[in-house]
Amino acid sequence: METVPQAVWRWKIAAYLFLAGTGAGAVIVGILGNFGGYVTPAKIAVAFGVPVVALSTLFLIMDLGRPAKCFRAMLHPSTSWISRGFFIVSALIITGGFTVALWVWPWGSFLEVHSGLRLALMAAALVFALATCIYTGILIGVVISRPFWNNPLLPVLFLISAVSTGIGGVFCILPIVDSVGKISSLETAAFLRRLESADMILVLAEAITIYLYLTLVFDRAPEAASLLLKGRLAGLFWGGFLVAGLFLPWVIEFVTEVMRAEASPALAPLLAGMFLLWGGFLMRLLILAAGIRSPLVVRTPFRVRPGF
Amino acid sequence: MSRWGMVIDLLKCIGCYGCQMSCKAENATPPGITLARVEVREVGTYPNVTRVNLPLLCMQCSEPPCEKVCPTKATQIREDGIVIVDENLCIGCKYCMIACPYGARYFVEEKSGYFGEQGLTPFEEAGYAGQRKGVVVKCDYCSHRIDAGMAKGLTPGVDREATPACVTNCMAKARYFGDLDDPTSEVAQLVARAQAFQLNPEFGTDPKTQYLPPGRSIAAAQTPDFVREKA
Repeated sequence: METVPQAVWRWKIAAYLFLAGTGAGAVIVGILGNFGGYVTPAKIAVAFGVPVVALSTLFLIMDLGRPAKCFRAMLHPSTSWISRGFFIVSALIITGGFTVALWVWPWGSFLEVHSGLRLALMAAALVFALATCIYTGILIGVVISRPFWNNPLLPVLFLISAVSTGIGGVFCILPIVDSVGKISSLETAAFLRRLESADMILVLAEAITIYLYLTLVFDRAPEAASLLLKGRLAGLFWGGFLVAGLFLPWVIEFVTEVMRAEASPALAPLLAGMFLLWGGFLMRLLILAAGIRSPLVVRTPFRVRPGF
Repeated sequence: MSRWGMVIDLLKCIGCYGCQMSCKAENATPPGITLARVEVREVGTYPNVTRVNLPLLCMQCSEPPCEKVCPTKATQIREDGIVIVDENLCIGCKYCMIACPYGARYFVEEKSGYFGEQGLTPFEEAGYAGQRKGVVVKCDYCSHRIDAGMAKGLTPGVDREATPACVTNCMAKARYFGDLDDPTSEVAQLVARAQAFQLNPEFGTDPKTQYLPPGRSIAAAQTPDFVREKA
């Protein structure tokens, strides 16, 4: 009998996990970049990430049976990770939103006085962005009856992938903003190069985490693992995710970075970014789909005789 | 306070799907939703294999994962242990369906009828009235029958009117219902004596719906009737 993929949470939830991760990843990259001395491009990364996180929640709400009542989701934070996530993501949108607002609005004199406030907001946004990436892994990781998810490496995998797709998003958005807005191109190029080398490490780390994840999962959830590796999802996993979503962007980054290829500086990150985003979405879609329930076991002091 | 439980004898179940049909009739569930269902399983390893009819419904866990993950507190545990969904609080996030190890929960996408363009039958119209869509539903041991029956002074598990529809309708008498806390009840005695087991106890859910194994010896297989006569 063919194993049927998990079908309760489908592409809308995958889109939520992906966009929340990408947005939060971009916020992490931007704030770290800002702490690291990059000014304008790092701010653009944060300003890109926060709306993406806000957009992600729309997919979550779209998936509800009664979207108008979505605010009830905050009622059970003592045990439910949806409720906890509600607060984490809201906090990220609020702190990240204020961080961006303080950069954008002409409140310079106010900021000079209250630079501590700006720093506190940025630090809080960083913390909530990290929490957002990690909680999405815990959200489905706590489900004991779906052993493919019930794995301590899932939050790690989601965090690494979130930062990587966040970088992918920045790769896509920065060259466009740069060419349209005529911002500091030198700084943008330096920031992009820095992100490229960081992402090469992240993609490697992601590949290793996936390998470890699958070896862990193979014993505990053999049905799910074979569904992913050789069943109905295998084509998307090997070709769509591993090759197009991980290997290709890494190669593009490697070629532009190490080989110093004289490609158009905007085109290479754009291309790598699109593959990274594709891989990030597909990874979540596949992990969701592979999260099938443990089979129910009829335990019995069993003695089968002919004619039973 | 009672603690309702059900015991299903897998040796007696003949796979007639009577529980599934009576549940649909009692609870007027739309197409695709079977709060009580029967799955046919292959059990054993070659050459010692057989097929087992496995009737499934909400296990009414004592530690229900669905209740823990519900973000709106729509899923609640009644004082008598029955796990219910308050349809007015449910927002249809389906997290409980993800968390339930037994596939006992269903999302009501549409209140469609069984006859397509011909519209709803009078039965469906009457049954769907007062039911929401966009929420998750589950078996609640026909708590409306239990409550109404007890209000009349009847005993669930003994009097048909106060007993879940699937138990009442089981022609093989494979289902037993009653108070697990009452040592004289059929279910309590079966759990105590007849090798009753819970599905996948490793999840730590401690279900109140339990099973008697299909491959018992003749003596053990006769335990239910023995208990019934004594009780």
